[in-house]
Amino acid sequence: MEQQDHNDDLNGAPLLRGLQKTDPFAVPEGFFEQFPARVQQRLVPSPRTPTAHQHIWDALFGKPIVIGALATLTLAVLVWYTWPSSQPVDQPYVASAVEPEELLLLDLDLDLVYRSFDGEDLMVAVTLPAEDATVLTYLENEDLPLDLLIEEL
Amino acid sequence: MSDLSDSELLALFRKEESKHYAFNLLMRQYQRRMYGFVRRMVTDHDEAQDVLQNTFLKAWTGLDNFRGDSQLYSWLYRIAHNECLNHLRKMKRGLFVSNESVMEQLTTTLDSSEHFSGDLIQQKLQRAVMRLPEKQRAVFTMKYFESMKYEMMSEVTGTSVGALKSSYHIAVKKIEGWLTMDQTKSA
Repeated sequence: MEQQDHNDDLNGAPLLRGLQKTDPFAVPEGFFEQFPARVQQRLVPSPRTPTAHQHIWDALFGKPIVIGALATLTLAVLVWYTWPSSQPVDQPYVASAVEPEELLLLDLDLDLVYRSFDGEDLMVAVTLPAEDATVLTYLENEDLPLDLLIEEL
Repeated sequence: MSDLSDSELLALFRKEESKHYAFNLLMRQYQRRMYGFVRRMVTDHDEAQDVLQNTFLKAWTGLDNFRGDSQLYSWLYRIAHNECLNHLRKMKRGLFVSNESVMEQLTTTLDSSEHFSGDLIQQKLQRAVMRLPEKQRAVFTMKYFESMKYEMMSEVTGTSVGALKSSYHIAVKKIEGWLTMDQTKSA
């Protein structure tokens, strides 16, 4: 039956049907005797079955991409933690101190300052607007200590 | 020494103390038949040796999981079939060339091979077989040279019986045509 099927397949192929099915390939002498030994030499021991812990470890850290991600994250945390800030975070903002011009007067000779305010020459040299003239009158009549005087001015 | 049955071989293989011995028996039992198929696919003896070694190495790794839902021989043959196709694909990639160039190389190997003992018509037949596409070549080799049943070929190739019959029929027509043309030229 099998031969019949085979011949039916070759019905339209008289050349193929008539050919001897010999093996045309020559095999080197001793090849089949040595072949199993050659394969056995290439066999490696089977890997031991991993334990459950090794499964979890391999799943979490066995993949290079996981290790890379962890390394990147660690580096990012270190950089963020050690990055120098422009001002201390826990200190409140302190406005830069600007010495008022009036404070420079503290370096001056106070007697001279008193005499200057008492002198009529100074009053003549300085032309003040009306509102300032009012202030000046107030300052002349009031018996203010120097520091308050400076403050008033 | 008579061949062991599949179940006897597997029983020996699954014992640690007789694993290598069983595998040796397996190789001795099937190496010649499988070599014939592989050699017809790749032509060159050294290439055939590499493919056959890789086939048995994969069999060593996979035999523990062999469920016995097919014959051991058809399982081995399936590995050999896939290894041949992979090998031929690698040849194409490695050369960055077309099918025709690969065929030319195989034909040159056939013509110059010191390991070809067939007569002229056998050489012409083998050259015609090499002109077939790889999968069709495998189908033709299994059916024509080894008289394999279509059902077993279906297990080996993962292709339906109907498709295999169609493929074989086309292959027969092609080869017959080439041999006839060659004969006409020679005459």
